[in-house]
Amino acid sequence: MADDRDLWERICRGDTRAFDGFYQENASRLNGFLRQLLGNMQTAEDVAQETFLQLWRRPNGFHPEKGSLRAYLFGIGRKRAAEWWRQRKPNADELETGQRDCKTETSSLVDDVFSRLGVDERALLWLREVEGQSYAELAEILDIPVGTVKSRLFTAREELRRIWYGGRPEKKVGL
Amino acid sequence: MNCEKAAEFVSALCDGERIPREAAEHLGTCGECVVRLNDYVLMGVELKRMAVATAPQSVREVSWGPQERPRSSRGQIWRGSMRIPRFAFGAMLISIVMLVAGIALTRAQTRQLWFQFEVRERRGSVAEVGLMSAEPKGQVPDPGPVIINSEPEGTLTFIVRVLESRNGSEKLGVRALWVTRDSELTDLDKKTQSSLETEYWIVPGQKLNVPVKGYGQIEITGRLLDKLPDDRNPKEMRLYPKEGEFRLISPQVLLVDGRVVSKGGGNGYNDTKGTFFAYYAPHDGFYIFAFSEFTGATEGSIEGNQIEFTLDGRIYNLIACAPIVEPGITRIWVRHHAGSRLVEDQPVSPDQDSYSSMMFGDLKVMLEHMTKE
Repeated sequence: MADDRDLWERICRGDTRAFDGFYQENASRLNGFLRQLLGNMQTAEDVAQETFLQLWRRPNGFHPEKGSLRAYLFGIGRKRAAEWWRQRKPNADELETGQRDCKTETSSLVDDVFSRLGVDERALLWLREVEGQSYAELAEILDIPVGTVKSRLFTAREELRRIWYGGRPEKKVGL
Repeated sequence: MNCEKAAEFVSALCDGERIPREAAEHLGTCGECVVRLNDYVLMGVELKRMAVATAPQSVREVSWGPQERPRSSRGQIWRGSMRIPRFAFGAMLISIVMLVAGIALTRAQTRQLWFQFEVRERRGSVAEVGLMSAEPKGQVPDPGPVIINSEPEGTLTFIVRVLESRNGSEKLGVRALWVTRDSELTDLDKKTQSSLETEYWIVPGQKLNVPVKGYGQIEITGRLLDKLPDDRNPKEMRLYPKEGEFRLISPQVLLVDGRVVSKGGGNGYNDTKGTFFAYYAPHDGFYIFAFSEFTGATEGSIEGNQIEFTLDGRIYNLIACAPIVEPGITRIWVRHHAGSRLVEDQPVSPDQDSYSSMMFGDLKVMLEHMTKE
């Protein structure tokens, strides 16, 4: 956290080198996350760029004592993605439908199964399993209490499991 | 505590959270919950794998100019915003940066580093080839244990993960257990996951020997990569398995006289010499396969991803998702073994007959310890 505070202070002072380092370290990860929310890489990269730009222009919204800078970045990204959908879709129902209908670019089985989850569940599982965000960071990113993070993660995993195995799990037994 | 109440704690356990004693006690005895935990872990691994496979190799070129931000946002009493087309904005940004600062756009390279490592067992064989982020951030998830049954004396299990990077060295977290054949062989996954994790620093390119109590040592080597290797997961990504190995990729389907009787199975690979794999069909028993003749076995044929054999006048086909052996190997031996336990001391979960499964191991050891039908 001390490193994050130092980095943030440098960014606040307009240290382009510090921010470029932060960008290069996190852009690919943010692109991957946003792709799950937005459905294709081109849009994800657009929104990611806007996200970084927002952080660069207005870094003061970050509070080091509340979480990591990366969690803050992902929080902005999530809100930007929601805004992007709102501009395209007039209401929340359509947002949800649009998400589910949106095909991702790869055709792997896992990708296909994952894309059948709701957007909130996808975001939560991605941040937890791929990005390794803690419960506290997830709460910060998603604007929900830590207890809700826990229960939603369980719900998301169960839903993914249901889709994945179709109610019939398979198992390897070692000898 | 019942499964319904314990389920949410399984999810928490998967995240490395502490769970109530009552829930832990339930998980220790409940096969259904263990399956759920394994499923969660497997899904997490697959998501990470997908993330790695779909990760872009580079990021967009962007230059962050000081002109792009307000002089000071502290104490600002008025804030407005203006929407202009993104293209126009981008062009303006580039122009300002080039004119005022005289700096050309620099190419932004992704600096994501990967640590590819190999774990070798005491006889020198490669037990695992792993790939993890070389600079992990936050809590590093448990990738799940690797279980090696290639030695007749016992089973080696281990978990290796990258915890931290500093000054060009990688900090590894290693859990390793050696369980002899006369020991309790149940719940090896959980036993490994709950064993003490020891931390080691490794310099990429050098060898690290990790002692394993009662076993000797495993050797870990690794290297840093600035891009994902093409052969990231050769055993699964290649069309055919390596020479001298067989490979099963789930799901498998078992047909009798053209009718599907079982599907599911599991994943695994091993040397073709001196080993077996067994497909468990619920309520029917094990179909034991080996690439050499063994007691009580019938010869069948194998081609690509299909095995065909005849038992009691009925034609059986076992079909896997991908080729099982390299081209040129056409003979295989099979034996049916009724019952839910193939060898003595084999753990049997309460819901074993809910799904098919796969076993792998040393043929000679298995035959010596095979249960009576």
